[in-house]
Amino acid sequence: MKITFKPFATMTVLALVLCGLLIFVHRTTIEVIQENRRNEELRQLDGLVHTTDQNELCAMGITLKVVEVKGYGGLIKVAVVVEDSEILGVRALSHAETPGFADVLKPEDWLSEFEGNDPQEVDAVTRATVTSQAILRAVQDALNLMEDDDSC
Amino acid sequence: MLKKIFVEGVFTNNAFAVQLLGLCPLLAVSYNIENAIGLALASSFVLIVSSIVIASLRNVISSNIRLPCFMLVIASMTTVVTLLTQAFAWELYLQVAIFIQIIVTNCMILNHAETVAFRTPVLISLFSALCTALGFSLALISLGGIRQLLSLVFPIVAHPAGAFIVAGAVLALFNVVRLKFENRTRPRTDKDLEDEIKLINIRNSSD
Repeated sequence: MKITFKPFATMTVLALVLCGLLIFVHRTTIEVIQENRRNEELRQLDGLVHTTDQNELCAMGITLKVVEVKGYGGLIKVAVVVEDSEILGVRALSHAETPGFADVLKPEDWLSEFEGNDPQEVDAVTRATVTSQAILRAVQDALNLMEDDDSC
Repeated sequence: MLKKIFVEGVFTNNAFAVQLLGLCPLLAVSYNIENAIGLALASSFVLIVSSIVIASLRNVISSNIRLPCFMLVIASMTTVVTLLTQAFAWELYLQVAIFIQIIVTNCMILNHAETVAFRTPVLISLFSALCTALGFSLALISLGGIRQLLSLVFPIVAHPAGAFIVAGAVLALFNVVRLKFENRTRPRTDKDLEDEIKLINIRNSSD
């Protein structure tokens, strides 16, 4: 069988051209997307804190820690808000969990069990074990980080 | 001939109801009409643009590497759509994010690339892609509408199990109508035959 290099060349060129297209689209949309993500994070924190500015929160005696943990479908970005060493609330800022399983991440659902409670006493959720255990780990991590860090 | 392509794409060879392709996003997203429209637009965009690209490259791509090339094109277009919805339709993205990303594995698009776009001139495959996209969108949107309406009475319809029940019922009804239509249409005339031969010739001429 004769080996030709034309197919390799075709695919390489095609891949390069499409990469160029993707780079272009990525460059043009990245700012809007990041803006959308920031707004979404603020929206998730709505009703809990009105700003993510650490200094301003410090003045109010509130600590906000954002940690990332590995969930089932990728990284989950978790925000933990603490006042006087009591948890005010836990929110999932962004995640890529499977729809349906992600329901436990709704603020009014399971996440509300953290409010005013010791995270050691919050149980994982049977129907979403990986996701809820990731959140439990994240809360613990965030609390540990807050203990180490006395900037506030 | 254009009429034949239109009837095939929208009705007698509908991607959802006859080919049974692309069912995963169809069943998962069709619980309300907004999501259905969003996903229909996204899938149509990928289908149409990748058909144009593949049809215009059909003489450059040799047939033994055509599948990886199709996947390259389709995957890139899906990424473009994902980025665009993230930028300009954030609310929609939150609802249907994962289903926009898995357009890449939508067999309807790969099937269209393989059977039409790779074998027909750009304009005809563009028209065919438009018709297929229209057929798929109609199916998706009507399923979304039906499920949203029915879920007011039967909540189960909005759940995944309901998707199967409603899709099954719609499929059955559609195919009853389709078979009636196909039986009723007159027997093939010489002109139909000519059209078919013309289409086959166009498809073979590029090989």
